Amino acid sequence: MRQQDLIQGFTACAAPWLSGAQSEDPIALGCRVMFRRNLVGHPFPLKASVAVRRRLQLNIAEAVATTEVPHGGWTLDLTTLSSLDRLALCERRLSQLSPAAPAEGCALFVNADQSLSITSNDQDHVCVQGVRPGANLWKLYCRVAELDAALAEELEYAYTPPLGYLTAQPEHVGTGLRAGVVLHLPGLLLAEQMDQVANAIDQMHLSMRSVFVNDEEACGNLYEVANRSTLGESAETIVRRLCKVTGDLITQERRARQVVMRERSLWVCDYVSRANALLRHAFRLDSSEAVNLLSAVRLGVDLGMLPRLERQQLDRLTLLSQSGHLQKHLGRELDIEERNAARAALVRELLESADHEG
Amino acid sequence: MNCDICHRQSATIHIQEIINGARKSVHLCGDCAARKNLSTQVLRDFTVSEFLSTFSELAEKLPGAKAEETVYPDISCGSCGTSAQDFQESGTLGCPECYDAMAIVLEDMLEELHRDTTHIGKPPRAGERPSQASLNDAPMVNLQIDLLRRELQDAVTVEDYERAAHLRDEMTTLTREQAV
Repeated sequence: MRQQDLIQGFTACAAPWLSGAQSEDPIALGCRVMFRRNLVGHPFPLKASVAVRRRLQLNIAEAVATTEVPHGGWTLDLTTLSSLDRLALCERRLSQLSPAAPAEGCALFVNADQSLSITSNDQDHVCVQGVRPGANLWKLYCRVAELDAALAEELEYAYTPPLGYLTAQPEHVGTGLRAGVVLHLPGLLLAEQMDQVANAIDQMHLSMRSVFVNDEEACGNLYEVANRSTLGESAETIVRRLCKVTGDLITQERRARQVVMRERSLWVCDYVSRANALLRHAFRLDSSEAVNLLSAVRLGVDLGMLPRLERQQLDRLTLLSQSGHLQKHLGRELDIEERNAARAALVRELLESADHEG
Repeated sequence: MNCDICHRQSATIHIQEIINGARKSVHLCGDCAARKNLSTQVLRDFTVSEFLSTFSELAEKLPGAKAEETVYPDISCGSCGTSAQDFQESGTLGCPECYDAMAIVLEDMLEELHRDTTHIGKPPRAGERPSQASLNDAPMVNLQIDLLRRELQDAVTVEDYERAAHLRDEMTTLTREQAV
């Protein structure tokens, strides 16, 4: 099959982390676990020659072939993909691909349901990643660690006792782990508690990053809470801490929603209904406005204000309205104005069909 | 380390970056960060590498901020040839051996970036697969059961009984596994 056909089929599939295929969790959309690994005796990809990167890619591909990933999955040569295709892959959060054109030997191996992926020769030789809907980070961690252990049987990872797994950037040395949970937190924002929460997260040596950022402004009320440190704690301890913190955050968000509904219910109803009306009638929507409005409508669905809509439909729309997916959906590249018009049309169409289904 | 502004409370926010070869760092306590109105912009999106461009301007403006001109020693990795200056500019090391060659440069940096400077955990090919470990991990199972219970309450609230039944089954399985 041609690479283009592959990527077309790939982006047309629902992404498990954002389309809520299995999870109906109102607050935790999904989680992600990633291990960065390098192979002993070779320069890191950015420093390695083309010949070395190609050879390592073959070694990695052979190792991947021994795991569950290739069965019904995809193998994409990232060097031949257009920037639009790469953007669509980034929007699916399939790997930490840099926006710049990838170097020779950079490939992405994805399993059939797109929940596990392995990237070769990006920043590090191997990046093993898993995504899962909902908040069960521990379950996902076990699955990704299992895949990582299976690869370690075939590949010799660069590992030195005092520092652990050696990575291209010292930020990731040690466990090489980045684990995070994406949470929808409009309640904390409306209750004006976001700063305190962010402060507390920071003190726990964790990071809280907005999933959507426009001009350095967070939008969409979706935040990924993840680890910041990879030394001094085992991967299991990091994941355990994250599970505890995200569980607490989910409770805080629930309380915040109850408080704003009790104290400012008219205001919240207005906030949700305006967003709902705008999405259904707008003819131009930029990406940050779209994710902000979709967040407000999602809150409305959670609070039972919009019984005809389902969270899954909104999560799918959030992904499809991203620039890369929008252009893939329409099959051509669009300028900003065209994208804004196309996004508004897509949102109107999908919300209308959701009404008929409901 | 004390806060660069009040010099009294211990700093909980550490901002560091390298511009044109000069390393700049700002250390603030939560109160001073809030007073400086840094909280929203800085903390909401805080990750070490992503939003440092905004921090550089802030760092210049803060009264207590200090700019450290760190001159990296003239050393390079014997294996891949990456020099300390290369690393200072790109933030990326060249190969696994660079960690030994540039240990002197990395020491302070690792201390600031991480909770500690020693790796804790299993080496590769340690034999024990994580899924086996997870079955013996009672606190984690309890957390999972808590999460499921919360989901179950939601499902019952919206009268999604099919899903509620599924969640209840999952909880029962976990509870049974824990008892074994």
